[in-house]
Amino acid sequence: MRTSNDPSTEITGRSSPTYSGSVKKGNHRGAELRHSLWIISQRLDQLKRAMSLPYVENDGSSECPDAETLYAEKEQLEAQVTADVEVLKGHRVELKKEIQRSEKNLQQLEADQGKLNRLEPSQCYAEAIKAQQQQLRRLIQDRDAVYIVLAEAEAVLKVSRTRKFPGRVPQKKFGFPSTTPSSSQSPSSQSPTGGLGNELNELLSLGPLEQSQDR
Amino acid sequence: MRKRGDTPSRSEITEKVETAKTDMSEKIGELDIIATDKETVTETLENLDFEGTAEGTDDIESAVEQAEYVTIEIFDEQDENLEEIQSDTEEYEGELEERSDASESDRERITDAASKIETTDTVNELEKAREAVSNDIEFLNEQDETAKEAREENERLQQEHRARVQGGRR
Repeated sequence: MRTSNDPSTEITGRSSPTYSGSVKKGNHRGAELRHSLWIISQRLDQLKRAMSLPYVENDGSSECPDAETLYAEKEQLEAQVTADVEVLKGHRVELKKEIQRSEKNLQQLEADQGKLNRLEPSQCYAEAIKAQQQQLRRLIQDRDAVYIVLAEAEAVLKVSRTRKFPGRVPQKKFGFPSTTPSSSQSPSSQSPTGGLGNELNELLSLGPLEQSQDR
Repeated sequence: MRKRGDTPSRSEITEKVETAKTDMSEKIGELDIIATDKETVTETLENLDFEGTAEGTDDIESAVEQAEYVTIEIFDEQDENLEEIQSDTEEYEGELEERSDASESDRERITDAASKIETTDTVNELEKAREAVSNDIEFLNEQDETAKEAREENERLQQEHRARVQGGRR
């Protein structure tokens, strides 16, 4: 799934929300979170591309012979992103607790620093406060990054769930080159096998089609 | 008998005892302040929540632990200074006791001498001298007692502050 830069330092993507944050040595939780965000962002991009689907009649027929496979792959990505959203929600809860804990610690440190009489321990407290502020800042950045990706994921899922294959659960058909999950190309730019390849390419190049609402 | 030149004046003795009291009092005040700081740091470490897994937690904890370490170090340094002042005071108490004992010997000698003399005027003079020496003894004992009381109270407080600092020592 890794296709570009080091995910622990930067998340890249064309249209998905991106998150970049510096990773401090020994920052296991932060790095893990950023890595998760990077993977989810990538998957979200794939789902968005997979949502460019050919028109399908209510009986399941379509001018595109691989329509069902494309729908099946979209469904698969949708399920993955749905699971990712749950993971992100878990991170969101955890980060909220961590932020509350950090804020409480910061208040405690500042209040106790005010009680100190000697300069020497007070200077050490200044260091502790600085470190606590940095930690809090990082946590807020992480939380915001989670919010951004989560909001985007939920919005994409909302649209994706309206685009269903009519009548049945779509199944992948053997022989069709997979566009997911490792491909970074849009289905519309693939060269599908079969006789209608050129025509399909032309159709897909027109962009997303309006879906039938009769489901 | 001691020579007059060796004997400090009453004001010198009073000043020295008062200085010792003041110095000890100031030092014990500093120890109290440092012990209070130590208690504050201990309280901080108890109240901080390091349960989280967020990065940077070690930096925060070690900075507060450094504050604790620094505070104990300052306390130990000041405690040592106080010990010196207390030791000097105790030494001076010894000097005052020695002077008091010497004056007591003087008084006994005056009493002996007076008992052997029959001339009224001379006896009267010796009686005056005996009274003067008695006053000196009383003064020296008072000053010795003042210094000792101050030192002992200071040592009691010192122990209290030590206990406060050592109580939460990690």
